[in-house]
Amino acid sequence: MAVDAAFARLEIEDPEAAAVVRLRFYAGLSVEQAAEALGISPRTAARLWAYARAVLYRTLREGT
Amino acid sequence: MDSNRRQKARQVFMEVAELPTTDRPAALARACGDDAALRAEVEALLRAHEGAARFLASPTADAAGDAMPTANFPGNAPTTSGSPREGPGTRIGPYKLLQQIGEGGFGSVFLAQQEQPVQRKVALKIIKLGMDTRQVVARFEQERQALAMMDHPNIAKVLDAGATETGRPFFVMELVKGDPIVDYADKNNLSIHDRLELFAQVCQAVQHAHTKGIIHRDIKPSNVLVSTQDGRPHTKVIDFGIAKATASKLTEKTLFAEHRQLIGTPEYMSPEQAEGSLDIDTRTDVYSLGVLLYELLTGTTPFTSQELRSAAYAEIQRIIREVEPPKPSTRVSQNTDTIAGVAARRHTEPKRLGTTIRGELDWIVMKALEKDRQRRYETANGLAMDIRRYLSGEAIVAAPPSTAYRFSKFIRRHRVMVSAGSAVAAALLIGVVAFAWQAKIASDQRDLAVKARATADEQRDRAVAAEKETAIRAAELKQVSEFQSAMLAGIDRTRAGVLLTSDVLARHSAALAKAGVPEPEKDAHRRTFAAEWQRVNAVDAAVGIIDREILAPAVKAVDKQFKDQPLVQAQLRSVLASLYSTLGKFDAAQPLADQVLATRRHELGEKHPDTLEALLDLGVIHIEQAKHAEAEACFRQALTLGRAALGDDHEISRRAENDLVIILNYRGKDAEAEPYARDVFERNRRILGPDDPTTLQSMNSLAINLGVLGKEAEQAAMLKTIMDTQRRTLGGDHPETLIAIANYSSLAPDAERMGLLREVLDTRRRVLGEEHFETAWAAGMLAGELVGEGKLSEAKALYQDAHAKMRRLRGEDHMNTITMARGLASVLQREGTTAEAETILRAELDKCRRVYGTSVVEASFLLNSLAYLLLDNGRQAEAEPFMRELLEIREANQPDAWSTFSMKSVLGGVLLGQNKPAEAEPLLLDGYKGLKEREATIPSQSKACITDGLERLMKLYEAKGEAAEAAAWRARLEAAKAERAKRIAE
Repeated sequence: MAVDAAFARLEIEDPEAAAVVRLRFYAGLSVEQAAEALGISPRTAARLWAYARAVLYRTLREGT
Repeated sequence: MDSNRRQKARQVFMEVAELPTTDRPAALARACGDDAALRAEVEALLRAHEGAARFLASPTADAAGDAMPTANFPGNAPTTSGSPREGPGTRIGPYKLLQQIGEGGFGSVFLAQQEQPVQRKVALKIIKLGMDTRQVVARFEQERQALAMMDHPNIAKVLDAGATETGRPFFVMELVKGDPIVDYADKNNLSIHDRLELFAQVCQAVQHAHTKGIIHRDIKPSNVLVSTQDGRPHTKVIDFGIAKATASKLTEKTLFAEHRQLIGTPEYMSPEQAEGSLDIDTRTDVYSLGVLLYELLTGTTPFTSQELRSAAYAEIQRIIREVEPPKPSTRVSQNTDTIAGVAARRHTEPKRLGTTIRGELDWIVMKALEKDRQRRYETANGLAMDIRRYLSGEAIVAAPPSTAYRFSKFIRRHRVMVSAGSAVAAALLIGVVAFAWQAKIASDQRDLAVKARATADEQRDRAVAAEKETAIRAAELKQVSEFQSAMLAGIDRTRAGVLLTSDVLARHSAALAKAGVPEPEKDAHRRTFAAEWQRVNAVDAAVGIIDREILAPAVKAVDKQFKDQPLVQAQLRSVLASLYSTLGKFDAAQPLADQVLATRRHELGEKHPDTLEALLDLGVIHIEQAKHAEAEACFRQALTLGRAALGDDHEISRRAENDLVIILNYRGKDAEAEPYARDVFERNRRILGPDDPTTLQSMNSLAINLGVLGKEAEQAAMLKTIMDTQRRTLGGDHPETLIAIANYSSLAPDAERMGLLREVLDTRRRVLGEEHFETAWAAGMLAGELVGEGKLSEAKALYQDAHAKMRRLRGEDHMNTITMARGLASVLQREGTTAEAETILRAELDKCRRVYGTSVVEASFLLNSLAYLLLDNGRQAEAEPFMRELLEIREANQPDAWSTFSMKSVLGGVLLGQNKPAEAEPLLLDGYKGLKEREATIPSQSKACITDGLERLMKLYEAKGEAAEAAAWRARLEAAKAERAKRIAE
């Protein structure tokens, strides 16, 4: 599965985490900036970013 | 996995992943307890977390931002430059690369096998390193929905896009076999005719994409592939959406120069692309199609690659922007060494090739290649249509202006009205077209949302997101529509009509010139045409076009597409209502305003400021419709509710109060209006300050009210205050100041009055010049004053000049032109040239009825002037119908005004004069009674209407032979006269 198919799925399953990916990966914001844009703390943004990446990576690897 | 479990796993993961690896097992055990499934899930995620080291590494992300304390966590990992390149055998998601089928400046194209969800072969294009993957993918995402909507047999579908594991962007496309169009045509020795057929196919495909909002931006032979299917050539345009996603930022010239191979092929690049303009539209593709056609016809591009490749970049830009390429036929004849081959490949001989191309094909190509995109074909379809016209022997659009043949066609099809009309409508209302279009976009997005919802429950979240998107779109739409209505505020319906007339006449003249009609005949043609055009009501025609083409479809679109968003729908309807009002179509505006009010009442409650605003807007429309009772009801209700819910000082309450004053004045309820007028003026002065425009406006309303109530001294003082304030705050040259001066002038002491009016006229002449309608208007006001003073010759000269100017500047049908004509008639009448005055008044009245109807004030003035002109000349029977009509209008508009009763009494006198005492009696009695009751409100200079009324009653009973009645009325008359004499003496 290509990245953006995995991403589309994440958007459905976890819009919050997907939002961080959109800002970090697609828009190129830093974690701080993404946190500000979403109105969450930088720490939460960093945690969500790690989580989202793990989910995407797993989806791509395992196709599930 | 259900979302509950997913939530839990996320929670645990986020806590545990922060910890050093060694501390994780204990934490995991604590968090999961005996939930083994949860633990397995989180462990899988943690493994992925470790494995994701370089995954989605973003070069711009700062290390400090990636605050996860894990040592091997990605984020600041190096970029992927060291990764191995993809090749046959590599897997990318569901695609397996089979073999490389192309290589270019952009990257490589592979034949690939897709395994799921369907098994098929596809083309997979991997963009080379050095481009910003995130940007490319993000840009592609923006176009994705639009690309998905493209469905055309001559367009290769773009199926997917994403990033490879090495971080390079890739696109997956429908696999297309075939040769680039130019190679195909040459290989198969296609004739010019067949080449044109093939090319028209390409245009239709590009047109399809354009209607979906997709611009190709990189049309060239290698992106138009042709194969033979069922013995016929079949074209496919590939790479839609890719040029946009992969284009560098064209504004940065240096970057552009560096990467210029990326944005492709200068031979096919439009001047605006070469310039690096960000404003690229569909006409860029029209240009590239023109280059393609040029090449298909002549065998070379307009600027050859030798010419361009040898030049420095700035020189390339200059050539594309400025140098006019040779016409195709010229190019063919220049290439003497290659022409034999070129001709042979087109199944023709060198000489015939030149002749075939010369003329119409030259024009078509050169029109597509215009440097200024406004002069190109508007659309790819326009180009295709012209090709088809050429192929079927019809006249083409691209004919140069020197030929007569377009005109013959033009006349034959009687299209002058249509084309002229659309041109005017377009010039006036481009914004509204965008409005309707935007509404459509918004609804398309909503449709998608609905579709998504219908497909499956699990997509519900996506549907919600799409609806959120729609809400954002609706907010944008609201801004756009507000902007547009602001833009349209300056347009009036009369101007639209005048524009239409001048446009049509100019087109006719131009067409005559083009057709080479001999000079002596031209005038006759023009006269006939102008005479025919006169029979058309140009204002109605223009308004009709605007309504039919733009507003009515917009109303329908809003009805249908915002069914589920009542408040957005109401907002859009209120914009449309104000547009209809601007165009004078109040009966079309009213139902919209009714709907807005009903919706807001239902959604927001009747006391909400937006609801009250809708109520006020409806009232204003009712005033224009002459439904004064309804208008009054609206304003009263808005005032009552506004005061109760928002307070007496709230803006809405004050606006309601001010509007109420205006309508009460209109309806002749002047005494009732006065306290409101004073109240709202005091409030505005307190809240906004004495110099605020709104304060001055309410002061003006109060002044008008006081004037009607006969409190002239107070009125004059207020008008003077307004004038002085505006002189001070806005300056003596400001248009508002000039209006205030003019208003005050009518009450100013006689010695000042003429000076004020001359000041207004002189200022207008100085600031605006002689040729301006405001200057002409000021001259008319001064002329009116001169008539009053008996300076008839000066007045006549001013009126004549002002009338001629209005005619020229505002058009024959404009209200200002009518007013000036009436002024001129008044001078003529005073001079004793009655017949001429009568002719003018009758003609202007007819015009006014035809263009504006009789509800406008000017119609009353004209009826009044004409009726009194006839009465003064003893033509009572002729005056009667005009008097009756006037009375009817007054009774509808001002049922309580003393002047309405005066009119009744006068009409009674007219009937009496025609020896119809029975008909006269009720009018005379009613009229006198009404006047007597309103005696206090009659201004001193008009008080004679009471004695006049008494005199008529006396004569009535004399005529009827009722001596006792007559004597009683005579006694009353004598008393009134004595009273009046005493007053005047005082």
